[in-house]
Parts: sequence; structure tokens; C-alpha cells
Amino acid sequence: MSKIMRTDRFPTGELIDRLKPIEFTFDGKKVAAYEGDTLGSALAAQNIKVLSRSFKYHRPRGLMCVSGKCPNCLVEVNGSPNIRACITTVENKMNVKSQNRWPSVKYDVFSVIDKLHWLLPVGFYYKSFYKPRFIWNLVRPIFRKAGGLGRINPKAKSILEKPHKAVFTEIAVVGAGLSGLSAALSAAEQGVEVTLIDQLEHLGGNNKDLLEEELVRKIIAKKSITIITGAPVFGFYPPNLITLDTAEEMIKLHCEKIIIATGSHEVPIIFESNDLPGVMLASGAIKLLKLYGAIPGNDAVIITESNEGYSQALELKNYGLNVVAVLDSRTEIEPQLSKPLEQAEIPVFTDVKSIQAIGTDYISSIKFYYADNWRYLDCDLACSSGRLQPALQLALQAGCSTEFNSNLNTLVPSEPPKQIFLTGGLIGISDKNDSSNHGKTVGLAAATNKPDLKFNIKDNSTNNTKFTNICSKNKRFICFCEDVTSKDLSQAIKEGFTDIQILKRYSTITMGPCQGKMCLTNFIRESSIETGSTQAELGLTTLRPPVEPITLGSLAGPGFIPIKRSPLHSKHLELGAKMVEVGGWIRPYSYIEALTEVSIVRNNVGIIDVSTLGKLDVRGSDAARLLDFIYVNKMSNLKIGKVRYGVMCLENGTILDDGTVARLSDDRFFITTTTTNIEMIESWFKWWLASDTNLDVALVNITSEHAAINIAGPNTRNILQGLTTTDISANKFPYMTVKESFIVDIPAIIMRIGFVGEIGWEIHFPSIYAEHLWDELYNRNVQAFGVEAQRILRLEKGHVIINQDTDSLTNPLEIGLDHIIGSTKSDYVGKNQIHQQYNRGIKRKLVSFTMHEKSPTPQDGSAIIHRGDPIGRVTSARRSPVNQKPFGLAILPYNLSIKGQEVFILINEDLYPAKVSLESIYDPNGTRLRA
Amino acid sequence: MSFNISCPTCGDRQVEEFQYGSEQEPRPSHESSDTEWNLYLYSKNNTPGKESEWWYHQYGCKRWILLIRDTSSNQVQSSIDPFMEAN
Ligand code: FES
Ligand SMILES: [Zn+2]
Repeated sequence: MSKIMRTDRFPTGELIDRLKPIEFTFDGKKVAAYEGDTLGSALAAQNIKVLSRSFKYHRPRGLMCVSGKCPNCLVEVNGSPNIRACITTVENKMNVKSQNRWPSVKYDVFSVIDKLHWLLPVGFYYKSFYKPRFIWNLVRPIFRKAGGLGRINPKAKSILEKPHKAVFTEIAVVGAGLSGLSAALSAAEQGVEVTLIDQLEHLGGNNKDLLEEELVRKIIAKKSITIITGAPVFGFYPPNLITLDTAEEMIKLHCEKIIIATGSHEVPIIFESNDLPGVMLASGAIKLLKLYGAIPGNDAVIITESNEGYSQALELKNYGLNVVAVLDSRTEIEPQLSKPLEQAEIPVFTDVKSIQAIGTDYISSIKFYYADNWRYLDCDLACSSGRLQPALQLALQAGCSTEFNSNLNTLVPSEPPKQIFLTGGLIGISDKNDSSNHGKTVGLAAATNKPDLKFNIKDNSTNNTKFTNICSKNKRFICFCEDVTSKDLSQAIKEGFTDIQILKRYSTITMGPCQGKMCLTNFIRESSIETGSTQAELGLTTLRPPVEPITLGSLAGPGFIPIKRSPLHSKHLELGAKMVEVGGWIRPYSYIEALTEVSIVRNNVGIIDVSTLGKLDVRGSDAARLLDFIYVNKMSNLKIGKVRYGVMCLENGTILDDGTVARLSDDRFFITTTTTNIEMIESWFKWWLASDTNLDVALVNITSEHAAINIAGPNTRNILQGLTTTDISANKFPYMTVKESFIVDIPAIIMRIGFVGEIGWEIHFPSIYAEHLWDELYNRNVQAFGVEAQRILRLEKGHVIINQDTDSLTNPLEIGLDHIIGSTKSDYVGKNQIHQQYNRGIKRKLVSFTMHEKSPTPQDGSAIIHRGDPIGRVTSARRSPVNQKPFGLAILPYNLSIKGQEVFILINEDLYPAKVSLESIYDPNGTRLRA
Repeated sequence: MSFNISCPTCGDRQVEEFQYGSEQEPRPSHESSDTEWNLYLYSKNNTPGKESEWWYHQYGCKRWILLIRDTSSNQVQSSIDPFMEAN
């Protein structure tokens, strides 16, 4: 028989581009591939058969399902572990490594475990290595090294966080195989808006043919059908939400109705050493040939228990493989099945009793029991053919129950809830005509709200006999992920674990990376045989989301939060500012150099865009009463024209937010909040108003309606006086006062306050004039400064930033705000708990600190160490532009918050001394501020 | 978890648009004892079944509403806007 050169490809291979050769490395060796190849197909074409080592016994494993459903081809790609080689498209120069092996996937030291399996019986972690106790300590490190899947690289770049998106649809169709396509089209023809989803990159499913292609053409032409491909649906959440993981985003699809057409897929037949590399699913072998022209082997044996095996044998033969034989467990075969094989000269053995794969690292022959004799067939490929498992996870999560289906000899979903519809291979339909007709009927029913599903499905049930097990030395694997054999299963059942849920937990079958995709059917079947209960009596294990593996990045991704821009955004860009995202806004970090900006503000004058501050307009005869209640300060005694720094707390006494309160008239206040908190503060105010609807207060959030510019520095007065007729001299416009007036010709609320510690004004005015006023100021030679300079300036003053220098447990006493608490007020939010705290005494305090000029600057969050123990943390730190010393704010235990106390700060694993000071390092008496 | 809430101002909307506030409970007065306050703050009923709750329509009308929700089935039985009730 003429052998094909192994690295050749067959002329088939729809997906590869032979004109574009590329290459990657596998365990350091170069592997040739074509554009369009997957890692799996390229490795198969190069005759590299062992891709990984198994979880428990470290047995060699190779491609099995070629559809991303089994655990066998997990590899590490460019540092990311547990990537499925068979569905990962090759990119040039990819660095691929095998996993779970040492030193190499070919010679793995731990494979000795395979020989020591008697040490690791089913449930071994419940019963071995317990006595004597010290044994566990000896073996634990070895298990830790041998076990697990892949290695996480702590230095790896952080994974892609996918944004979350919410989408709505009338009918979602999950699965774009024949039945799904038919359902989508017939629903859309009723004028309903449909979303069609498939996890493959194309429509038409795995068995795409002329019939499917025609439907796909019609569907693409239909405007009312939205198509989402390459998107595994990984979960169902009540009442009707499904989640999709696409390459760019995580989609939450809200559906009125869902048609589930997830189909069925091949799973392995159980025989001895059925995990040897070279033993594959027939569908996997065909896929390699058809899509990539990659040759999984030359001489194939087909192992089957259904009619499927016969057509698959012919298909493989057509691709040019030598099909050595078909081994069928059934006794009687219809002649029209075996006829074509006779013509193709493929021998068929029926009533085959037992099968064993033979080979060391990969298969070299098949041994089988036929007509009372053992026989051998040489081969380098054995295809397990025609055992199907419905993809029923989603249907079960959606609330379907199950029933036994004799076509598939397994459980399929049934009795769907009202808004859920099932069709296709999922419920055991195998005939193509049936699939498309049933799909159509279901689509119509879903679209017209008339679930009339009288439908007769052709009974294709085959007399499924199982391959028995005559010699029993070799392992017959049920669960490839966790290395559980049929012997383990029967052992567990003998030990009394007969309930399917408990049996799963004890044996760990279905609990590995495939999450039952390769083993659920086999698990239930074998358990039913072992226990004598029917499959229906046993039922299924619970199939929770995620149905498909997803990265943590998909779950952790940000919700859809738009980033806000200030009305001065384009001015900042014009000035070449370096921009950063802070608290949901994109803001200038610096324009020139932060330290230069700092010194200009300290010595001359600067402006900063503070439009991002939250702004509330509060009016009404009860406005003062409301503020008295919400702030810990007293606000009702604030004089008209005055400004007060205010803090509000939650009812538990912790700080919620801070800002300024300006009284514009008897019944009108203008409030600012921190940039990040405005949405929350708005709802907080509104909640108190909703709780007491008798209060006469009107509240408007004018954050985006108003821009704000802060001008500060010793020369501010010279600049500003030139722009307004209002007298801004020290007497007429003192510190902490407010005026409504005009700057140039713009109506504004002008407050004399000083976050950065210099004489300055905060000007709030309608956003439409933002650029106009900015230009007026900027053109008078005023330096623009960004958030970094502002942070340094405020830190030198010891001004606190809420949520930076405080956390969700900080109370006002801990940041030294005892004096602002309105002690004459009978009630305010948080009063009871602040008083309790006061009586107990506080345990920690925010203090300033300085360090030696030679020490590095600590990062925000660095640990503070005292006598070897971590006792606090740095909340903000910078290097002072004045004396070059690192300084900042830190939270310390109360007993250490003493002036001059020495503590140590952990920076890059070294300790550096710091001294506690209780006052700000710049202008502690505020003379500059009040000037 | 996903269900709809009918907002008295905006109509039927997905729960994602709303923010949960708290159980509706009378606030103790400033004369209440520390124990009463501690119980109010730290021991929530959280019982399965019908619960009266505050929800905020964050991505809609930005108004607070009072719901009666069955916490075990997420069935919303009623939703009122306290301001509309008052008038
Ligand atoms: S061969 Fe890749 S997942 Fe099965
Ligand atoms: Zn609303």
C-alpha cells in the first residue's frame, strides 16, 4: 500500500490558504502552517500527535474532538494557559507550549503515576494519605506539582477586559445549524425581529451542505435578522436573558422568546485505552481533512454502534484514507448499509464484543473480540463514530426537564417553559428533512404565539448494544478531563454512591474543563447499566453556567459607562495636554510638566478646569433644613454670601462625600460634590426627599450645565480684577465667600476658596461660555495646570481627597474633622453612630508624614511597618517640589499619630523611615490662602 | 438575575436600569437607643417573600420608587412613586 508523505496535505482544505505559509513554535521546535490553519490542524499535518499530558495519570493525549469540547489539546499560547489548540487560529510566530509535563510532553516524569494508579483510587483525596499524618505532608508538594491544569504566569500582561453591552431582541435563535436556520427564517417571515447566534465563525453549522447554504443566503438577505457569529452563548438567566462572549465584548441579550437549536455532537465510545493519541472522534478526523487537508492518519479503523459509522467510513475513504475496517457492536445490519462498503472494499465486522487500542505513545493497532476470537488490525487512526450527545446545557438552564430519547439512547431536554422553544439535534432529530421542517414549525410557533407543535419525528433508534469489556487490565476512560475510568465509576457505585449528583462529586466525572461535553451521556449510560436504574430515573446533574469556558476578563469587563468630557476638552487638546481618565472623566494630567505647573501656581497664577465637580442647585423654604440633616455640619446658620466646607456621612457614620456649600439667598444653595460621586449624591439627596415628601425643596443636578474654572496663585487678583467690575479686594471678597456676578460678560457664581492653598477663586458659569472664558484667562498669560499639579498642591496643604485618603470605613473623627460636626443639631444622618464612635474612641487617624530626601517616593497604598508589623498605609504621597522630600498622608493607629513619631514605609521590599507631622507642610496657618 | 420593573414615570424597564436602595423601614429617631440604631443598621430582615423596597431609576427618570417585590421569585407586585402618592 502506498504511503503518503506525512507532511503533505490533501487537496481538500477549504479554510487554509496554501499561498501563505507561516510558522510557529511548539515546545521550541518550528512548525510549518498555512494561514487559516488552527494550531491543532497544523500539528496534525506535521504528524505531531501528543499535545498534552492528562490531569491525573499524566498519560499522553492528542487531538480527539477537534471542536474545542474535550480537554486533550489544552496548550499554553504566548504565556496564556489552557488554550484549545484545535480551535485557535495560527498566527505567525506564535509561541506554543505543551502543559502538564516535565520535562517534556514526550518524556514526562509524572507518567509513572499511570503505573501507580492503585495509589490513587476513585475519591483518593477522601481516603488515601491520611494515616500516618506525616505522609500527606510528604506527598502534598508532589501532588501540587503534578496536578492542576497549566500554569498561570503572574507576570503576564493583564487579560483583555471586555466591555459589557445590553441588547434586546424579540426572538433569539441559538445555533445556526439546519434547524436553527429554518426556525430563524420562518420566524422572520412573520415580520418578527430575530437575532441568530452561533459559536462558529460561520452560519450553517458543522454539517454545512447545499441545503444549509441556500438558507444562509436567504437569511443574510433578510434585514430583520441580526446575525452574531463567533459568539458562544455561555449562560441563561431568568427570566429571559442569555449571555454571549464575542471576541470584542460580552453581550447580555434580553429576549422575548428563545429558540434553542444547539444540536448534538459526537462523544467517545468507551473501550480499552480509548484515550491513546490516534483515537479520535470520526467527526474530528473528517474536520481535519475537510477544512484543513490535514491527514490524521493513513490507516483508519472505524468503531461504531450506529449507522453513522458507515457513512463516515465512506467519507474518510473518499478523502483518500485507507479504511481498514468498520467494527460494529450491533448484531444485525440492514443490507443497504453494508452494500456500499462492500463496493468500497471496506470490511465490516458486526457483533464485535470488546475493543482495545494498542500502542505506547500513539495507536499502532486495534485488538477486538469477534466470533469467539481475538483479532488484530494494524492502524494509525481509530475513529469513534456515531455516539451523540445533545448540547442541552442551555435548555436545562432555561428550565426544561428531560426525557429519554431512544434515537440517541440518552436524555434530551423536554417540556420547555412558555417562552422557550427546542428544535433539531438537541431533541434527537437526526433526519435532515425532519430538522428543517421541525425548525420551520417552531419558528412559526414562536413568532405567532401559537405553540402548536404536533410533529412526528422519524424513529431512527438503533439497537444500541454496548461494547463489553472482556479483558480488564487497561483503562477505559469515561472522563478524559479528570482521568476517570469505568472501573472507577463502578467502584464508586459499589461504595454506595448511587445518586447521580453525589456520584458526580465523588468521582469528579463531568467536573473538568469539558464540563460534561464529552462525558455526560457516557456517565449517565454507564451509571444506568451499573446501578440497574433507567437513565430517566437517574436524571442529569445540574448544568450551571458558564456553558463555554470564558476568561475572567469577560466577566470583569466594565459595564457600559461612557467616559465624560469637560466642555473645555478641545482646549486641552489644543494646548497639547497629556490626558488621563479620572473618576469617569477624561482630564488633563499636565500641560507642560507637573512640577513646573506647581511652581507657577505657587509663584504666579494658574488655571485649572474643574468643570468635572458635581454641582447641585438646591432651593426651597426647607432647603436649609434638608442640608442640616444631610451634612454633619450645621448649614442653616450659614450667612447669605458665605461658603462652608461640608462633609456628609452615611447612617453608619462613615464619610460619603465632601464639598462646598454656598448660600446664595435665604432659600437657595449652590453645592459642589467630588467629581466621581455626583450621581450617587444626587440619588442620596433625592432619597431623603422621597422619604419626606412634605419638604419644600427642589433639587437640580447642574453638573454638565455648568463649567467651572479655578484660578489660583499670588497674582490671581491682578488678572481677575481686569475681567470683572466686582470688587475682589481682600476686604470686599474675603476667603470663603461667594458672589453672583459677571466675569467679562458671563454670569457666574464666584467662590473664594482654595483647594490648592493659594489665594484663588472658583468660577462656575454656563457651559456654553466655557471656551470663551478660558481664552480670556489664558490670553492673559495664565498657566494652565492639570490634575497632577493639583494633587501635589493640595497634598502640600494636607487637603484630603475623599476615597483616596479615606476608605469606606473612615469616619470624620479619623480625618480630624471633629470641629465641623454640628453639635447643636438634634439630628443628622450618621449622628448616632458618630457619637457611639466618639464615645468608644477612634482606633486610627489620618496624619501627614515626611521622609528623608534620599529615600524613594512611596506609591499610594504602600504599607507602613512598625516593629515588624504592618500597621497602616500611605494614602497619597509625592515628592515635595519645595524641599525635595517625599511626603504625604497616611492612616496610622491612633496611638502612633503623634507629632515626631517614627514609622517605616515599605518601598520595593525595603524599609524607609518616615516622621509623623500633624500639620500641613505648606503654609500651615493659611496666611497665603486668606491674603 | 434579570426581571422587569414597572416605573410609574417611564413604564416597564429592565432591572439593570435601576439601583437597589434598601428595605423600606422606619428610621429610628435621634432619641432611639444605641441598640435600636445598631439593629436598624446591621440586622436586615432579608426574608424570602414579599418585601417593600426602595429602588432608584438611575438610567431613566432618576426618581425613587417603592416596590413590593417577592424576593424569592422576583415578582414585582406594585411600584409607586411616593410623590405621586402624596398628591
Ligand atoms: S481536540 Fe481540541 S478540544 Fe478536543
Ligand atoms: Zn423611571
